[in-house]
Amino acid sequence: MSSAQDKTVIAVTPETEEILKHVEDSVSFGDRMDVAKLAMSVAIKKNLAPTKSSGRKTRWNVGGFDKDGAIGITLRLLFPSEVQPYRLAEDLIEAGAKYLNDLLQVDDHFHLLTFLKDMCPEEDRTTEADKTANG
Amino acid sequence: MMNSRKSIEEILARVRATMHPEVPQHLVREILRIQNDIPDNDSEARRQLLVAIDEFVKDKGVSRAGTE
Amino acid sequence: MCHVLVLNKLEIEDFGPFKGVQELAFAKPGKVCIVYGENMRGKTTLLNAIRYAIIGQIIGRGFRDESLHETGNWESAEQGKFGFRTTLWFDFDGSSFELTRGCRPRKEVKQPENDTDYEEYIHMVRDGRVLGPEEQKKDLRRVMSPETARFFLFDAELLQQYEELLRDPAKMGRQIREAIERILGVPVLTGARARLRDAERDIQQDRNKTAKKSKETNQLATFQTQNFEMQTQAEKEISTYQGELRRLGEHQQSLRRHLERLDRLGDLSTLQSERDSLKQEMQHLRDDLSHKADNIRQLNADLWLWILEPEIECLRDSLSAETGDWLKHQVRLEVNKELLGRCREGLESRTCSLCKTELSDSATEVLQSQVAELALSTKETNPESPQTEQLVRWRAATSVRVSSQVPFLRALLHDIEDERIALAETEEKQRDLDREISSRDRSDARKARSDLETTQKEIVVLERSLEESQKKLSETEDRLKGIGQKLARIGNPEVGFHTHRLEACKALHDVFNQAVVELRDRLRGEVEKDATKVFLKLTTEPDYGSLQINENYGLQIIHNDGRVIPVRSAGAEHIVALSLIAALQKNSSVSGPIVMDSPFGRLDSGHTDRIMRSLPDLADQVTLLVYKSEIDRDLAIDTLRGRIGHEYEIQRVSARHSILLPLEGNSHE
Repeated sequence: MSSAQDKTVIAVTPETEEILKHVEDSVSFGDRMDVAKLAMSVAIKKNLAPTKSSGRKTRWNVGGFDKDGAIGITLRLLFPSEVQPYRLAEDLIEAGAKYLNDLLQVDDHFHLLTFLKDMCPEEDRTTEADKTANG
Repeated sequence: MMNSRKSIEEILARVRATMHPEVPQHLVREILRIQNDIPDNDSEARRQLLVAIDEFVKDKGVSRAGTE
Repeated sequence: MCHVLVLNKLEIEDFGPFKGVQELAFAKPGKVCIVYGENMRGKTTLLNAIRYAIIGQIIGRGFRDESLHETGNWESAEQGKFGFRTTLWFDFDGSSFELTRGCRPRKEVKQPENDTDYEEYIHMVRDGRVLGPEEQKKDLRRVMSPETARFFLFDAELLQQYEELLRDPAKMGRQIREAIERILGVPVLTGARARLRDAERDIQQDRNKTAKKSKETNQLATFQTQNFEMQTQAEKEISTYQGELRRLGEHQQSLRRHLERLDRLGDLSTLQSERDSLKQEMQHLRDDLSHKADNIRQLNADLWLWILEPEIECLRDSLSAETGDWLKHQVRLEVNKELLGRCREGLESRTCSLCKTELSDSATEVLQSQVAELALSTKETNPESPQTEQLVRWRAATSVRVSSQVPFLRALLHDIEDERIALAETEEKQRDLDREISSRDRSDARKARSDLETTQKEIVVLERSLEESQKKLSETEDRLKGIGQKLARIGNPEVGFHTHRLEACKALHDVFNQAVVELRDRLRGEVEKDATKVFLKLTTEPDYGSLQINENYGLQIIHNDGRVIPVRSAGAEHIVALSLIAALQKNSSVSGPIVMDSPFGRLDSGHTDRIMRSLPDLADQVTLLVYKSEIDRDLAIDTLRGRIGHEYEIQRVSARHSILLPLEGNSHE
């Protein structure tokens, strides 16, 4: 693995920037970076193909975007064949942002509760141990 | 409940007989009928009223020529 | 002949808070319909809907006409549906009617903003036949006029007005007196009397024209003409002054009522402190919303991770076996490394690393073979997979993170939704209060007082002018009388004919005039008798003997010992007003339904109970609109014992949406 060839900055297209802004305006996010991370996760969750696009503008330094390295590690874990996780992250952000934009088309507002219902459906939290204990 | 129509007729009959017996009862009834039947049309009501009065006066034998 | 009006059913659409189409079935004659509803749910609006349905009028507080635009349902308006409709089914004098009234935006208006953007419509069917405009007008006048509606459809504010008038007969407005006489059928005689007076004028004019033609009467006729003109002029002036005096009188009364309301300081300060509490509540909600938004911001920073946690957990489960093996191998490797080091030390120093004794040759040989084995094992590589290593590293990296807080985030979002709704409702309540408070603004009181003073001065001046005109009229009429006598004496036969006509007309006028006096006396007697009967059923005071009526239909309470009760409690006033209304109903030429809004508001339970028991005696068809603490439902059922026809409740759906629900056990009919 050659991390030296991986990206050191995260860049997004102006269209994606606009979408991220729209979501940030609808719901409380501390930083647009958090919306970008969310877009990345949405793309992974929905198995969206990473989007290659041109015209991206530098937005965040990787050191600031992934302070504790959790993003890099998570991507390496989920995509073991991927040798440039931050390049992958950028492409996933683009793909995820398109999905978020589709949600916005419904009534021009990002509804976090509806989003959570879709991304994190509420499950029966009984563990295997509980089931065994209860026979 | 008081039947106002009946009371009105009764009162008119009695007052006429006491105050102006020379005025016939049918004329009083006619005035009442005009008021009941034509409450909103002023000019028609006045016309019919004058016709009723004129007929009474003619019945009395009074004409424009002055015979009585 | 008595005309009978029976209401059957009312349908309303988007009227006030009643969104969509809703229905009220009235109780059959002999029974009572009760509608329960808390304040600001639409109780008074329901009364207005009935009033609008019958006479096309909507009355707001202070008896001002309400705006059409404001009457339509606000939620429907937000959804682009403006206007409202009422349809009333009723029977009158043996015919069945369906009367629809409504208002809708004019065709060219997309977004109505005030009353001028609307047009009203009316549609009436009698016995299945659609009526034309003239027939509609005639029938509506027969059924109920706006003047008489006040005795059938009334609320606590109107009842209070009667109480004030009964307390001070001088205040009794001409309008109310005329309305009372109208309901009693007096206008047929006063109308005939007025027409006969007009006929007198016509005949006098005819006589004058005839007199002008003759030389001997020409001069008198000319003089008469001049006096006719003066008479007409004086009558016109009198009519103008009287009209102006009536208007100023009503304005004066309305200013006095307005000032009395403004002077009720207790109410104003209660409203202000209610508004202050609401402001505090809103600030608290806003602060809480802001705090929750901050929480959400913090939580959203890790949302990307929580979304992926299920996938990562899945992967971890499938790799857990591998991970365990790898860890075990790693530990074994470390232990062997340590052991190898110690053995090599022992070989070098030819002493046991544990007990420090000198090693024999055989012990040394064993140790050498152990060292060879251990050296081999430490060269083995851990059969790690890149993913497992990553997983271990991931665990390390994320070990400080809390587990998914999505359920907590969800709960927070739900709380925020609820609080936003609560905030919107509180803001609306505050707006209502602001409106109410500003209508009672103190500076308004100063203007009202100054207005009242000006009005009183104008009244004095007008009364003087009226007196002068009346004197002028009287003198003119005396002169005309003299001229008439002279004309009669001259003996012109043509003039004489008209004189006979005039005499007949005057006689008829006298008869009708006297009949008016006698009818009024008789009616007052009947009203007094019937009002007394009802009053004695309603009052809880055993020493009250009867009611006595004056010429303005004011009522006084007479003690059993014959003396007038000079000062009356609010409760007694209320009962007297109800007794008057019941008596007018009984003596009216139209027998109709009574609809009462909050009639028990200020009464004690004793009076309330008596009124409840006497309801079927007040009118054939009674509808009550009450709030729950005004009368207890169980008590009402028990008191009326089988005489309840229908029951409804006005239920709140939202601040601007109420529904009319039939109550259980509502199959009394």
